[in-house]
Amino acid sequence: MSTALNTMASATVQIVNPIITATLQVFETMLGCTATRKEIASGHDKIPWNQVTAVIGLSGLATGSICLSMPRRTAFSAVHRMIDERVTEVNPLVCDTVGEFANVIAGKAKDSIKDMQLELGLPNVIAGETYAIQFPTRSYPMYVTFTSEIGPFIIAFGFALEQ
Amino acid sequence: MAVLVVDDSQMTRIVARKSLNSMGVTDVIEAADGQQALTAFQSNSISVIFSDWNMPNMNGFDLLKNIRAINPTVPFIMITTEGSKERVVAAIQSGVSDYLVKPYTPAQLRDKLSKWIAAPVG
Repeated sequence: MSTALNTMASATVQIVNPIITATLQVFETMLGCTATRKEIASGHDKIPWNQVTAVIGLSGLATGSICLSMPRRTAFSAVHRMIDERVTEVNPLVCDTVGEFANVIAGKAKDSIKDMQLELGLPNVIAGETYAIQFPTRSYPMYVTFTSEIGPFIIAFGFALEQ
Repeated sequence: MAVLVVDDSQMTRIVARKSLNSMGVTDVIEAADGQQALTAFQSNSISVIFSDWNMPNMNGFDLLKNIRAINPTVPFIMITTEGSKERVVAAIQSGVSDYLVKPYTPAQLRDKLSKWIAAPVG
């Protein structure tokens, strides 16, 4: 990796481990579910978005987003585990659930990178088959794939240091 | 005893209500933001407030200021995703009675409720 790319990537790379740790803890505590990290990869165009994606914006000394993206079935299973209700369509409760998971994961990850002085935004949730999510220019987006008892999901994130 | 649960996440409110119901608290009033919570507080006799901090319309901090102007002693338990020491100290200095960090378990919710009400819970 070139020096220039190293500088560009540093804000995003700093947050990889805090995000993974936060994700595993949140799934364990909120869902009683063990998640397992699989692939870590980079590249905005390669992110395998699923049907329900929650986006949390963060700003401070760096600016960017943390996204939790779940296939429909994983999101339905999460709702079922949380409140023992079966859902069969992507409704506001499903979107709210994915948004809340993303919110808690982002909050916990943020606590581990205090030097970035980040403030959390409110969750936005996108549901659909085809969409694009834009990360800040120079942010070098990355994603992590997970498997779990309720199904697969991904976390994608990208941060750029404020100039 | 009425407990006010304030969170912009419907899922979080449902989980909190179910947990409180299982502890024998049947009077659970829900609000999706600080403004709704303030209205609910003014029209009900509330024993304990569990409130999220980061919410639209009126956030937890502004809700706390408004509640404290009406009632300086009602237990106000902040629920936050951010457990940093600085955040918690600032909130307690602002008048929060206690705090609960997300993700929390039903047992942690019960412990906080027991701490702030006279009657035993669960």
